Amino acid sequence: MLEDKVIILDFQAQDKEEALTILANQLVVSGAVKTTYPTAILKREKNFPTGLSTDSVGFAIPHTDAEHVIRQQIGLLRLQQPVEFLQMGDGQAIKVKMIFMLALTKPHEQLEMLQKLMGIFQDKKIVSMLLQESDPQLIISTLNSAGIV
Amino acid sequence: MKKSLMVVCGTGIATSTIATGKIKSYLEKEGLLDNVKFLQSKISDEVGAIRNDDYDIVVSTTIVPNDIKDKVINGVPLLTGVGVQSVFDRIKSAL
Repeated sequence: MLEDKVIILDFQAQDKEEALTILANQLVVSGAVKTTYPTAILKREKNFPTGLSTDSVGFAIPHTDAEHVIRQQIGLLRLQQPVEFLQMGDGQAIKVKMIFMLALTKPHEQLEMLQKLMGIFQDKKIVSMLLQESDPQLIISTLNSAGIV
Repeated sequence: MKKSLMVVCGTGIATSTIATGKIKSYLEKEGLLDNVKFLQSKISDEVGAIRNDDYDIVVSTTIVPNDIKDKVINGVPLLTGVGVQSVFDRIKSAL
């Protein structure tokens, strides 16, 4: 899921639209998604927000329909300063620090991986590593050993 | 008769899959898995059916229109882990 190494660290974004566009465009460049993907991501985030606030930090897991995806991949963007997202489920404004953008073709076959990703958000040790580490390769290997492969 | 449990999210692919998985493992642990028929969809396809009370239980990981809010259990705790037991309790009491 992380082979393309789409990892953007400490990006300064004005707002969520900018952050989502940068990350989605990187997935286009890597060849994991179609050129229709970035627009679809923005539209979907507007209609169905994907912010998740855990005990420690705010995450977002933007994703969209499989028709925009070529092969499964996850792109990660860490923000220099948190930006406002709306929370999934209740639409409340939350501050998001890390974006895990999901490009999924067959999510039903990825249940285990998706559940492990949620587990990572709740794991204080991994979260603090993700917030501080400056080497993308180490972030990838940490996520790999946590079951995101 | 089995109760129908509809899990909805924005696109019917990612978060409803996670939520369904969590509910299944909970019900299995409680020995209630056979009482439930699982369904999964996207909210835009289901608003009418939910309004009509077509399903016994509805869990959503996305925002639903105000007029059906009372018929829907917010499933976001299944993703974040914060407050997950109260979601399980609501599902169990509806069975």
